[in-house]
Amino acid sequence: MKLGSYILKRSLLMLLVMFGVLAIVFAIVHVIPADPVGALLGGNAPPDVVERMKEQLGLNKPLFDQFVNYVWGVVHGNLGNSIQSGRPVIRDIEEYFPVTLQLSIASIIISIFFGIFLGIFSAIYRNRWIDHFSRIFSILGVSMPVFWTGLILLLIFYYILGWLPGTGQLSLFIIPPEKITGMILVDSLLEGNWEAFWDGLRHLILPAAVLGYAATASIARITRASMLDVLNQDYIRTARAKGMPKRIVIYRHALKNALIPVITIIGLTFGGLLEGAVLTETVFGLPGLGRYIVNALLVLDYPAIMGGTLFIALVYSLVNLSVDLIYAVLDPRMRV
Amino acid sequence: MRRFLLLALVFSFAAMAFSASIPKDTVVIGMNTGIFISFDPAVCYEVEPAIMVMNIYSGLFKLQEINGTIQAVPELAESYDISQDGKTWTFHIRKGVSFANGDPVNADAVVYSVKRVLQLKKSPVWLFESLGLNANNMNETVKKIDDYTVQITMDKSYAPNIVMSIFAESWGGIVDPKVAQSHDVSGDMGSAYLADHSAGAGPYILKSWQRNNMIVLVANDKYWRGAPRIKTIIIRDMPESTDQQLALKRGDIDIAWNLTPEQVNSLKGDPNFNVVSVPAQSNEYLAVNAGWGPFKDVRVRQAVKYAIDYDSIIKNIAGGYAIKVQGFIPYGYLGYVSDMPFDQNISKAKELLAQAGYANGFEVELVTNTTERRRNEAIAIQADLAKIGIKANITIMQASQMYTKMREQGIQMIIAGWGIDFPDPDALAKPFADYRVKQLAWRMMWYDDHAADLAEAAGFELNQTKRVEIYKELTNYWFDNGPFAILYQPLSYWGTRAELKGFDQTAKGYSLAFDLTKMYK
Amino acid sequence: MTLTEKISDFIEKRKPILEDWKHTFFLWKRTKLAIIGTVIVIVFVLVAIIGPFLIPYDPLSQNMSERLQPPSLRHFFGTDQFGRDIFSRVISGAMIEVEIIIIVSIISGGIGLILGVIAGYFGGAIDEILMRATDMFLAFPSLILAMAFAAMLGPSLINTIIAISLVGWTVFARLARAEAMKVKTQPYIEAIKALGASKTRIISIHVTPMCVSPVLVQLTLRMGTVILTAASLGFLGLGVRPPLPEWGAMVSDGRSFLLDQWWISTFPGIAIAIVVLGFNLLGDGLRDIMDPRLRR
Repeated sequence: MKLGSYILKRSLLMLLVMFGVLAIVFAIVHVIPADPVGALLGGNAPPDVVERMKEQLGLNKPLFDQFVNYVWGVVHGNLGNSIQSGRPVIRDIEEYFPVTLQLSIASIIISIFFGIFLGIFSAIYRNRWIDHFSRIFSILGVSMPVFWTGLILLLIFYYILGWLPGTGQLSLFIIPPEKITGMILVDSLLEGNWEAFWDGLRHLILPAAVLGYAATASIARITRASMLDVLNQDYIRTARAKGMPKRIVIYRHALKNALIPVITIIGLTFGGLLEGAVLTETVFGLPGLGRYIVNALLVLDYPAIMGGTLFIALVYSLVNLSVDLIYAVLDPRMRV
Repeated sequence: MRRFLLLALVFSFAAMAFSASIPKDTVVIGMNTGIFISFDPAVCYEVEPAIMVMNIYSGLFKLQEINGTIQAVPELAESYDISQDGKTWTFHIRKGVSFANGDPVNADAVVYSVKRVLQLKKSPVWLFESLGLNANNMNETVKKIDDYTVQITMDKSYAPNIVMSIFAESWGGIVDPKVAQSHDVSGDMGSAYLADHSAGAGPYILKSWQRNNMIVLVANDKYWRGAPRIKTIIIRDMPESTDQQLALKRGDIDIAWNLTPEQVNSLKGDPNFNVVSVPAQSNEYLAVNAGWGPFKDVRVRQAVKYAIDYDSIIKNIAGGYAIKVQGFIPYGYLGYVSDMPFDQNISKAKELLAQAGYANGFEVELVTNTTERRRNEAIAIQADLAKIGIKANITIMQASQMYTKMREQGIQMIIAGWGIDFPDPDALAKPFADYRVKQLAWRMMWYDDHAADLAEAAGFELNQTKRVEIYKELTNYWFDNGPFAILYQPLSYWGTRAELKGFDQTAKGYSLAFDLTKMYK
Repeated sequence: MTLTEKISDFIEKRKPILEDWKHTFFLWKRTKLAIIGTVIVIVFVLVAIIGPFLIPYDPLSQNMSERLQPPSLRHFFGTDQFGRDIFSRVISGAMIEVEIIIIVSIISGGIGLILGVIAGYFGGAIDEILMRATDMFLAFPSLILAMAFAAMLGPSLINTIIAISLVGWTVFARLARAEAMKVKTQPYIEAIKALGASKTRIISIHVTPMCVSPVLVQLTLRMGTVILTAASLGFLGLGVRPPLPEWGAMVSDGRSFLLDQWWISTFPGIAIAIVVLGFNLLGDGLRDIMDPRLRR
């Protein structure tokens, strides 16, 4: 079908999916037998105070009403106010998301770099020791709990060796850049604030490495499979037979074609990164969306949970949509 | 060329590896700030932000630890009179005090601040309401007499200590009306603005708060008692205790707030660090539901109290950072009872159970929340109870769920803590013994009129000696009949670097008092 | 026919399948990593089953006088903050992991397989609905969904299993659906339909078995993820009830001791790493073997 109608169809579907996500989250969150007010007020407040606060926050209205109100709000771009911070959830998301985004992008870059590298090596030296070693190395990345790897790396590189700074985004006495995008590295570059840039980069290395390492395996695996596929194709053999050096064959011919399926994997991995960010942000003290949602879940801040989850689902769906669109543009067969 | 670039990269990284050490006029604290909601005194209720609010805003009174007990001393109220019937208080405001921005502190500000708490009706309002003040009667009960005199009328003649303490805590902080009103948004009286800005007369100003990231306090040079020595206090959000430990050891923070007992004990003996510990204004308890199953029988409740190995919990789980206290009144308070009737006595516990008809034990659900300390306590007590035949199944709940279920009286057995709202034994006696106030005793379905009567009588007894006697009688009755076993009174502790001095003075009276002006380097 | 004749007839009919299995085995032997993976998994399962009979200490018994001891001859992996022997706990924990993995796999694999086959075979509206449903679940960061379920149901072993299962079925549904769609168009299905076979028969006997193998491969690959998800839930305070020696909970509980008593977190962490690695290698190897293009 034509590209235009494909895009339209996919976008509409995405909206439907978002609505479904919203309904699911709302249902789950309200089934939990607890309430946010109880957590806010802590153990000491007497029941009538709790009841009154619930009234204040509109939590005593029937569920259906609450849901309808909420959806109505979302359609108008209003995600409600966080019960905990009292601020509009959108503002909270605006503040926290760039941190997660920066972390995810940095992790993807690391995982692409290492993944493709390892994948190529594995494919070229198939079934030799390098292949086995790099496969085990990359798979080890998805075999360890992210929070554990994070703590151990911190222990080694920050505490014992002192090569890298500890938790947080910037060192204490570095002047942070003016907030334009909310991503420290980007803002520092835009401002020409080199100190903040280097410092932010050094703080980003460990968490991005931890997350990126976890994603390396899938990318390495796909690259390897894809390369193997391509390397066995006839036109490659022809090129070799014509006497072209191996290196050029790989770079110019094989790699380009091998990279196409890698793009899909990147889209999928991005989603995994968003959730790995939840744990990494806690261990490394990064004020990102993952931590925000976890805190919200722990105190049952309904609007924050729903808004945050909806937002992540949206981002994830958009990324996948873009990946599919790139595919559709490149390969008309994919427009099913 | 490539090699050169690589080397340059490595060197520049290495060069920056030497982090700047913290300047002498700055203190950096590593703390878990995830639960911070607001710095508005009318909204703030959690312990950690509240102690900061107490240093940003000044109140009529201030809480201080004097000779082991916490008392209210005059702060902005230079003096006060109490009427004959004990209900009306007249406060004389100190003259010549100004807010950090220069605005004068006067009766208008005081009246505005108190009314503001009553009108906003957020978490702390119930403390004022327990004195009979509310949004309906505030125009009559909270009055300005002249520019430096304020009159407040309670509904009963409460013990002076109670009234002063309630006004001394974070919600009693006096707010600059001009600043609050100029940031009023749809009648919130500046609450959204004051969540992360300050408008107080205290020793510190809230310069900035990036949530889940960093809080910056700077010294108020116009503070009427003199500018504090530490000019900048930075609180870095570090949710993991291991992160705090590493940062403290590397000198990137001065104070680690949330270390575990083992982590802080490993600092002892190291001359680079200090461990500061003070008795906490809270206690840790195990409660059983007196209206459920076997616990209806008082002997079963006693059996539970005899099954617990209190010494082991204090030594191994609290790492020694606990005071062995078994009555509900903590150390340092009027009416503190030092009797320890309960030590682990498995045979006696089994005997009591058999007498009550439960020689074969029974199963029960033990609930507690997700912190490491509570989990460990639950595991220890599960093992203790198993020794007398009670099979406790541990359910870990998030705090929000736990408190909700507790308020519904739906918990069979729980391990939790009670933070003291104001430094008076009444703040313990009522929750632990008086079901009529619908606090802990009510939640655990202990509808005991004798205990409730005693608690209430003690609350109104003006004669100190008689009051102590009533509490003693109540505590003994409560030991025998109550559904609570006090595990310990915690010692709050911090790991600090040795360069930081005076922190032990700062922390005296934590969590009701915390004076940041006492520290220096 | 006599019995012997029946048996040889049975074997004759299935000869091609046996040949196929033989070839699979041959390929498996050639793939070093798959062998390593299989060995790890077998050892893991053996340890889970036999281990609890051979451990020196009761994994739950506390002994405060021996708390926080470093690894030694008496306690191979040291003791934790309750004086419990970590070696015994790690070994006992293996069984818990096996339970979690098996039950989660059966539930999510089962749900995914059934839903996917139905969607793929019937197509049309049913297919669309299922695809949207999987989209909705996939759009969720699965950890957050698992957290929400765990919070909703309350932290315990069973609820952890349910939470993880409910989050993971989508992948299997997609795979089964793709296979079912491919199988649907095969001539022999047409033939059977023409012979009057009922839809139920077609789906259960002919279509579903073809979809099982890619699902199985994916299941193996995912078994490792299940353990990690359980560990993450434990980290966030939503995992199994204490004092169960579930590995993830052990790593999480020990993390405040990382600096001075590193053994409490590290040994269960290594156990997790090795086992998950084993499953991943096995799954990878299985997929390589099953891939028709590499089966040369």
